[in-house]
Amino acid sequence: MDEPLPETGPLRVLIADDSDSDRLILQTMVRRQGHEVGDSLTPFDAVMRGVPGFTGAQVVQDDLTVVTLEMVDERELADLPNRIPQSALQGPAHWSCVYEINNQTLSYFNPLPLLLHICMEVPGLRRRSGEVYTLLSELYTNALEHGILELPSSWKSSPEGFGHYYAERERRLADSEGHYIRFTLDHKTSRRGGELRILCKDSGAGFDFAGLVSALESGEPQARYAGRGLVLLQQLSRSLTFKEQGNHVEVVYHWDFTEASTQN
Amino acid sequence: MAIHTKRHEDGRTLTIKIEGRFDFSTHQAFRDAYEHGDQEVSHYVINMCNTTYLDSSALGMLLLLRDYAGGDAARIRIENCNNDVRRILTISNFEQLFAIR
Repeated sequence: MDEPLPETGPLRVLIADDSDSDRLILQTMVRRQGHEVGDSLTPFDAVMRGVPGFTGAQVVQDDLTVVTLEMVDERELADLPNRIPQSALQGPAHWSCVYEINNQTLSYFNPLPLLLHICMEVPGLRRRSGEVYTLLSELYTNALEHGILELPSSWKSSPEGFGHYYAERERRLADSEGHYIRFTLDHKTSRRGGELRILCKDSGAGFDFAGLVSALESGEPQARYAGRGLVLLQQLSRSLTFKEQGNHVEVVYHWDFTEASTQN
Repeated sequence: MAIHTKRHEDGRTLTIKIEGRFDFSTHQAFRDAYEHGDQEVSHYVINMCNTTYLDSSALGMLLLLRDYAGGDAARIRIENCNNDVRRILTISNFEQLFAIR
């Protein structure tokens, strides 16, 4: 505090600190600069005392939440167990829902944020939002682009083809009448964690998934710049299954209470 | 979603910064970012510090850049990925194709 304070006239300064001696030192320094200092308090008491001053005679109708945070050195945090606290067991454990978008809505509405939001109500899934989003988004993209719009991955074999693919996506999307994509989410918890089952069904004609599955197993890419979505689905989930004509895909995803977050 | 490019003073390095979700909607802007650069550019930096998410179509786009920049001879560094982005790149074995930091 060698620098003089700016020329704004005397200020009223609220000093709050957990340490008694620091409060005293600060008080002395600030007073010496010509400013007014009220009672110095611990931060919590200072905030609590400031509340009626701020709200005046008004009867407080807001819910009031005051949080105290303890600042500690990072090293002390390392010993905390990397697990979800018991309170995280609250939230929906057993639930399912079906969400379908159809007809022209397919051409402009993105259902992924909503679906993700529903899943994020489960505390154990919240810290895995990236993975859950990837599962939902890759399933949805496949259903829409390949299932309904019948865009072939083989176009993505050259830069020009890649551009053509997305130009055609936009063109075909203009007419999605008579089509649907239906998500069925099903969740249950167990003693150790939980299982999220995502079924995605589209109104398309399906495809030869037997051939695709064997190609996936051999690690052979379908086209130079495509085919990586299914690999992501496969790697992130417990199982990936094609049903009916291939227009019905099921992903089973497991999460575990005790497992350290895979995202760290 | 937005893409910003910056040429370094050395003239040889192009930084492409991707903001928000890196997915198919970024496709044209991402290609424009490197295809209209001049021939002197030999090093590419993909700055993901503000990239929230990356999907499988973005993986295809990164491979397009890699081939444009010379395939196995390409000098491309992917920087500042968040955990989700990093995980997608790792699962897809992109660590063998790009310098990821």
